[in-house]
Amino acid sequence: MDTEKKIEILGAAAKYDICASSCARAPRPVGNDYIGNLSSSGICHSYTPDGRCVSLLKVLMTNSCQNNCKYCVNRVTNDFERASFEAEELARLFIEMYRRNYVEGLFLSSGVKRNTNATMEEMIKVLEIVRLRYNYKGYIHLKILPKTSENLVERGARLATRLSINLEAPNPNRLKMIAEEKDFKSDLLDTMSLIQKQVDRGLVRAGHTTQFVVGAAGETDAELLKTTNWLYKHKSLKRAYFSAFIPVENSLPPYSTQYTVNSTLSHAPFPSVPLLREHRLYQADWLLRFYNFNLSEIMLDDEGNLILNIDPKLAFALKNKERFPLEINKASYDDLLKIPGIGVTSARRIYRVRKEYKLKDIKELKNLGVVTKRAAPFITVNGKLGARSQTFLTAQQLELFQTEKSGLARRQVELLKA
Amino acid sequence: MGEGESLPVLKHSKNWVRVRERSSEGLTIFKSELFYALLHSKCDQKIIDAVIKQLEENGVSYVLCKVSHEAKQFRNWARQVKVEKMRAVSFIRLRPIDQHNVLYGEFELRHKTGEIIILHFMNRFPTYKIMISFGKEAFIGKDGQIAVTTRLIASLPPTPIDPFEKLWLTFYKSQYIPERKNLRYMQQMVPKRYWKWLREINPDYPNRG
Repeated sequence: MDTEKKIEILGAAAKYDICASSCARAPRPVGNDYIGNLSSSGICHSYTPDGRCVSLLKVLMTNSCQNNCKYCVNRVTNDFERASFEAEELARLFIEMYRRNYVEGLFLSSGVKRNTNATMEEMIKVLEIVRLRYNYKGYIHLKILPKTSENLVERGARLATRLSINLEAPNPNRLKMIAEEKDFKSDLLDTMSLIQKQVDRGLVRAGHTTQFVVGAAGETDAELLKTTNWLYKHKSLKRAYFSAFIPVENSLPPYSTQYTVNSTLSHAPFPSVPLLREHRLYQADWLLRFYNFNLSEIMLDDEGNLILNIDPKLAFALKNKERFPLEINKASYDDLLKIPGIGVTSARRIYRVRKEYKLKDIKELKNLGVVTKRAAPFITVNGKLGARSQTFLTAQQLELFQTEKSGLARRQVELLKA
Repeated sequence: MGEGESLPVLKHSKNWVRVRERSSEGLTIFKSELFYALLHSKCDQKIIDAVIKQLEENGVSYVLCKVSHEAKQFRNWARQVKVEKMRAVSFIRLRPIDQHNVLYGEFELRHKTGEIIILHFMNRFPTYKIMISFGKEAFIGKDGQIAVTTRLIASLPPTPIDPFEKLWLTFYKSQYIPERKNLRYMQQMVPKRYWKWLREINPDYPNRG
């Protein structure tokens, strides 16, 4: 099989891995005989028609796999064309693409061909050629396979900029439904602990990440966010990625949330998970990571899912109307972050500017980057209400919150109306 | 080029002379923004003077937080220059001319960003001579030195068809997920004026090597 055919198969097999980050802080490489460097802000070299950034040469080492994960198109029982890169071949391909400024780095994952450690050895061989022979100093994201030995994780950590292992499901029960061979604790969490050890030693410059398949195991958003939050606190996780389950050819349908944990995957097909759910999960994840929200401050419906047609921050503000309106010249930094329409950057700007200058008009907030249309009902500026109406809960927002599709419990709506 | 100090447009500004010597976290950001704003093709001395005056009177945060119209304009210039630099380092495709140890690229600029763009590639590929043609003039960088020329195109040798371009196009196609189709967002991230440099998006772009 020629390289072009391999890249077609192994590129397509890797595209469901979402992470496209390519940034890491690093001093300038020493000497003048290297190729490549790290950028402190990510660089996207192209965009696919689905709007996703192409920053890394994202490929699998092989799509042969002995596992039979039900959500995965590469599973062993699937009958389709298999391919594998040779280490030399992939290393050269990557360096040539990097020289042409097509990509910002390498993202290497793999199916488990014979056994985990043999496959990891092959992947690390690629990294060794790239790093040691070509003297490449740029970005490499290495996927660690479940049950990889500590020695190989350490070798990977010394060569890669970022490591990751995909948990795919938020807890052991959910994982069993989609990947019977994998044990949540011994195969995934314990391997993640080995990665964490290397991160804590400072070997992995861009930290470690994980990914969940959203909707494949009928899990709720509450389960996903609880696990994610725990990983941030206890596993030094840099970031969690959420990939909405898409039933592709030969893949099995996702669970519906109405099924119990003991359901089988042989039920009638369900529509793919709405991308909006993925979007809301990222918004909630952002609130946890950057907006100093607690898990209990993320508003969920009765089934434990995020409300699809309202963003989680607005949902929080509407649920906690007694906390608003907030005076923009006096509110604490944490409170500023709780106001819809005010992001981290604009909160910092407000916090900084008001030390020297009293904000007097809502138009000034617009210049600071605040989305005043969204923030107005929740703020006062120099004592004046941001919104014309005396009530900060606009009719439009109430309407949004009351729609049946939102799934919001009736008692919450009543609470808001009170 | 340092951040602001060596730029001639500031030499006669009394306000700048006073501001230059001070230092704080905010001023460091301001000086960096000033460096970028001055590279904007429409940068206006009057606005820069007004901004520096506001900085003296109201503090650096007043300017950085874009409270006034002038400050907003100033920061917009800086942002537009940074965006152009970012897009250039993303979308410039380099063609290796190995017999001369050269990486060659082409692009179009609206602002005076040629120097910072070529510096990016010089840091990334220190063993190569970097040549980038920006329309009428071209920048050549090697060993920390940058030269500007207008005669680059004529002196370049012809090169064979690049097999890695085909591999890149195959890889690019393989990454598309049809179920997530979102052309509007893609066009937002890659404005049409850059399409002519991107063969994967614009198949009509001639294969230059």
